[in-house]
Amino acid sequence: MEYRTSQRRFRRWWVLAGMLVLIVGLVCAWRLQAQVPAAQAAPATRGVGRLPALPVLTQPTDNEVKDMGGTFYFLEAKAKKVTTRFADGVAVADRGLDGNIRTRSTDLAGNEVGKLSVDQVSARDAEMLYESNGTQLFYAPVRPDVRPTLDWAALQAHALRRDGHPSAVQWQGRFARARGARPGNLDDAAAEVVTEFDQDVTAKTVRVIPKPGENKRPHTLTRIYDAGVEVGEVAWVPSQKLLMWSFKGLTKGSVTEEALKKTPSGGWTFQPSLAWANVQALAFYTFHTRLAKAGTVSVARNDREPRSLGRKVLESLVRPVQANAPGCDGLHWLDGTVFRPCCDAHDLCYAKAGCNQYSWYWPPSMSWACTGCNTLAVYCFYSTIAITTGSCVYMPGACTW
Amino acid sequence: MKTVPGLALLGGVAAAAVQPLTPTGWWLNSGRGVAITTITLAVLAAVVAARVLKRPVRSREAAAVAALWAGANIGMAVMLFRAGPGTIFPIVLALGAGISALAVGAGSLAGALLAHVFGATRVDPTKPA
Repeated sequence: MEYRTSQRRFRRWWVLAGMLVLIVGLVCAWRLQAQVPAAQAAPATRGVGRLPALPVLTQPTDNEVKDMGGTFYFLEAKAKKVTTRFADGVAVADRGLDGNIRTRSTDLAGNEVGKLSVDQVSARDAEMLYESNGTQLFYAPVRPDVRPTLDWAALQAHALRRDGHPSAVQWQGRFARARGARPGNLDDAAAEVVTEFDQDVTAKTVRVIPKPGENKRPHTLTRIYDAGVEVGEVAWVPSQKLLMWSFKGLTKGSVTEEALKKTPSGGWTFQPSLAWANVQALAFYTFHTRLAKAGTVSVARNDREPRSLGRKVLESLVRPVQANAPGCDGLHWLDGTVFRPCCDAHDLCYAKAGCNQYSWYWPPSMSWACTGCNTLAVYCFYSTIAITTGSCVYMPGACTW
Repeated sequence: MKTVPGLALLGGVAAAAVQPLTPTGWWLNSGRGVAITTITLAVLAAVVAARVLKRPVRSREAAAVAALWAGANIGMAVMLFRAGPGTIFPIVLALGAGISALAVGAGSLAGALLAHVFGATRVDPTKPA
């Protein structure tokens, strides 16, 4: 009898321990799945083309591949031309209407010393051809996890020039370099970057080194111009990891590392570059301009407009929030996950169409464009949950809104 | 059947009461919020399953668990709309419903299993085993 009681007690503890292990295991597996970036979750199938791929240096470099997110690439695609000045020359990258990139690397006198062509051979595959003095030095697929941008092409062309126009190259992080090329962050070599976006918007970032005795720290300064008129500026202080911005009548503020640590990102997840500052300046300018027109203006308009009793009751219960917060409103826990592009695309769609959350209650009340934004957001979440491969693949057009 | 509305009320009050304890006031805005709310719901469901549910598990027992879950979701929805629903609130509510279903389901299962192992589950004498 005593033996049976002891056996029962022993069994109970085993069941309890087993359940605990099972619950902890399920929670861990679920969290890991939610945090895996799209690039890792879905094995890259790009780059399997007709050309042999370049070898990849296995050691970590100062120029590791970094996915900057759907919003960044959406805005960067608006750039038509990037001019990057270095101490020993200039690289000018142009994007054609077909999305292909042509980059000229010149010396200080303006003589062309290298030419890099990056062709999009499919939606996600690209190939690069590097030439010097009319001679083709190499032709290879772009590394699958690298998304060619104008800034990347300019740095790439300049790096190959500095490497002595090599024909035998390997991937060192996000750049193809001569074997044994000296390490170092290529972004640091740029002294000035000018980005020309569509709709006559231009951003220019320069490095500012304070004069001796000046109570300032080295920083980068970005000025953005709309039709030649300065509309705002952004400053980045690397030593303090401090970003400050001022756009007259739109937005003014700063963000520190400490402030970012309180967000799901946990701090700066990358080293801001001159070219990034230009895209960030465009983001501040375009999004806040749109929100000023479609967001706060529509709130003011809504306040003046006669409202039905139902709408009054609804507004007394629901705060009429018009402006979006960056990321997934109400789901900021998922800001660093594969769901983020769905939220960014939805925010952009709302800003573009001038929508707010009322479009969910009664779709025809605003415009069918808002219903389209909402439908695509639901589909994006559904497909991401179901397939877990990132929204752009399974949500055509999401990244080009 | 007084259990069902009572459990719905219990779930609603508990889920709403725990929201101010989360870092941002809404559980799905932070990992800690998710952890706090999920654990609260799971523990509540486990206690309810262990103390209130009877064996064998029938539709009445399932309705009691569903009432707890539905009540929790109503409570959380009220808190979300009080704070401002944001631009994707239907998706937020749907995801919240899914996660809370997992928490309540797992908690109920754990509670029922523990009660069975430790012999605390009440047996309904009117029903055949």
